[in-house]
Formats: sequence, C-alpha cells, structure tokens
Amino acid sequence: MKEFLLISRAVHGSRRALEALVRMYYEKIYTYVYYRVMDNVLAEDLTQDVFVKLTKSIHSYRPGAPFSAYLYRIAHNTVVDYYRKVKQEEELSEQLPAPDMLSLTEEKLDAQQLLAQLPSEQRECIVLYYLQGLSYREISQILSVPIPTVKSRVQRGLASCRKRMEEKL
Amino acid sequence: MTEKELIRFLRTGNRKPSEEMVERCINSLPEITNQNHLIPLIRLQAGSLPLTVYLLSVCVIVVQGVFAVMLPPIEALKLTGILSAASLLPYLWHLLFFYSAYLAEIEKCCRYSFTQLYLARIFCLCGFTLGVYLMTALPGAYMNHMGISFLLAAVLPGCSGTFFALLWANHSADADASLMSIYLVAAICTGMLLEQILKYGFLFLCILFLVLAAGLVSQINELKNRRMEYEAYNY
Repeated sequence: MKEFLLISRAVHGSRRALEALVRMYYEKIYTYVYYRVMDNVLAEDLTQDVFVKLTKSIHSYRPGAPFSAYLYRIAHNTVVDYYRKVKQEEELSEQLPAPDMLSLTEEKLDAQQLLAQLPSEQRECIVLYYLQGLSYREISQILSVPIPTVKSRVQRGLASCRKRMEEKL
Repeated sequence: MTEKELIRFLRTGNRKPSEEMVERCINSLPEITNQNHLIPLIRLQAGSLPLTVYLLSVCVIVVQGVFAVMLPPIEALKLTGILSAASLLPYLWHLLFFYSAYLAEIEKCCRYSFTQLYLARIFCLCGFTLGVYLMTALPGAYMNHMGISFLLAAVLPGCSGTFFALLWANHSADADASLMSIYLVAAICTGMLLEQILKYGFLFLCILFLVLAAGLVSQINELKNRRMEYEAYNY
C-alpha cells in the first residue's frame, strides 16, 4: 500500500497502518540512531522513543513535506535530547572506541568500524546520504544546517574513509 | 579504491534489526488519539480555495448590486441565479472533480477523512452563498424584497448544475471540462426557469431544493467510492 494512504489511516487512528509504517521505517531509523550513539541497546531504546513520539505527534505532520524527513527529524531531536539529558555528549564521544582500537587490530576492515572512526557530524551526514539515500536538501532540513555544510561534511567524511581504507590496504 | 567501490562498501554498514526488536517497538506504542477539530478544517478549506472564487464573488456582488436596481425583480432573480452558479464554477472545479483537485485531496486526506472534507466543503458553500446573499441585501438594494426566494435563486442553479454534473461523472470519468460544461448548462437552464419554478410556490421550491440536496449527497458518496478505488488500484 502506498505510503500516503498508510499515513492517512494512521492519522485517523488505524493501529495496523501505524504498525506497517513502523515496519517500513524501523531499519532505517535504527541504523541512523545506531551511528549516532554507537551502542546497540541504546539505539534500540532510542528508536523505540522515536516511534512513540511519532505516534503522539503524527497529527502535526504537514502532508506537503516528505514523511521520511519528518521521521528523521524526530530521530535527530530524540538523539539530541538524549545527549542533552544525560549531559554526556562529550564524555560519550571520548568513551567511543578510539579509531585505532576499532579497526587497526582487525585484519579485515568493516564498514561499521570505518564509519565509527569518523567524527560524529561527518558520520551522521554519511549515514543519511549514502546509507539512507536522502538528498542534501532533506539532510539540511533534518539537521537544520545549510546545504553546503552538509555537502562538505559528506565530502570530508568520504575523503577520511578513503584515506583509512588506503592506509589499511 | 574508486569512489563507487568505497560507497558500495560503506553501504554494507546498514544495520539489520531483529524481528523481536521491531515487535517490541510496536508493542510499546501508545494508541493514536484522533485530534481533528472543525475549526482548523474549515480554515483549511477556506484557505485552499483558489483566488478566482474570491474575485468572482466580489464581481457577483457588484453586478448584482447594480442590476438589482436596474432590472425588474424577476429578471434580477434570473440574473442572480445564473451569476451565483457561475461564481460557484471555479469553486466546484476545485472541490468536486477528479483530476484538478487530486493532489490537494491527497494532502488533505492525510489529516482528515473524506467525509469530514466534504462536510466542511458543504459548510463553506453554504457560508459562501449566505455571504453573497447578505451582501446584496444591503439597505437600498432592490433585491432584499425577494427574501427567501432570492436565497434559493442563489443556491438552486448551483445545486442543480452540480447534481447533473455529478450524474454525468458517475457514468463517465472524462475530463473536467465536459463535466463543467454539463454543470454550466444545467445551472443556466435552472436560472432561466426560475420564474416558472417560482410560480409553483415556496413549498415546491423547498421540496425541489431538498430533493436536489439529497441527490447531491448520494452522488458525492458514489464519487467518494470511485475515488477510493482509484487511489487503491492506480497508485
């Protein structure tokens, strides 16, 4: 069934339509949240929060805007709220495995490890652009940053990945 | 390593959640509460009207104001009916038919049910007609002596035109233009026949109006079903 029909039915209280939307977007949102927090359990909890927030605020969705961008915006805000709440953003980034520890001990470099080595902002843009297939415009709306900033983050992230790969090879 | 290879490699980093995780998430969701209210819906409807509707209604009021003084009452009544029907034309074009309003429909359907939309539209239509009537019933306008007949003259051609256009639409999903020409012909004929209709008296007019209104509602229901099929099978 088409997405707009699902949204329409979900707005009018259809539980089945809402479940279908969750199934449709769970993997994407989970992937996005995972690469923001780099923790499986935390990513699952926050993804759950995202869909709970969606259920509560689905009436405020403006039909003209893409639904995926609306959902990623909720996910982005959820992660930001989480970091703000625990006031651990800086500490958490310090707690993340250091790049060298992550991949250089492994013989084969894994895409997740490669992404984990990127700075948080670049990783977020790379995940949204290449893994989730969003446009620069959509990413700029989700993150509330200008399009050129998104482009440069993606390019810098890609260059950094390439450098790591070449070093490894 | 080329850029394409690198991107392909990065895409293997997608996380695949387990089915249990998805189920846990679904089970934790609260119930959706329906928060649709009438006022925002009416505002949405009024705001979505094309500018031509507003411009034409102003023209109708001005023209009626002029001709109400110049023409005998019954001639003015005919003119009023035809003008009101003409002024409703872009409104109905925007609201009732398949293709011209299709995208707007989908957008609005995301928030409101189809029935709610049509009820709000009928509400707007009534408000619009009543607004035109009240404006032309200003002190000094000859038309205000016509009372309820004038109101019916404003509504009846539009209703009958819509009714016949909808009847046609149920047999043919042709372009909007053919539907609107049916509407126009029916509206003009009803406007021209208002004199004869009025001769049969006020009760007859009311019954006619009620029959048309009932027919209109049933036809809208038919169109609604067709549109749902259209959405379900073609998109």
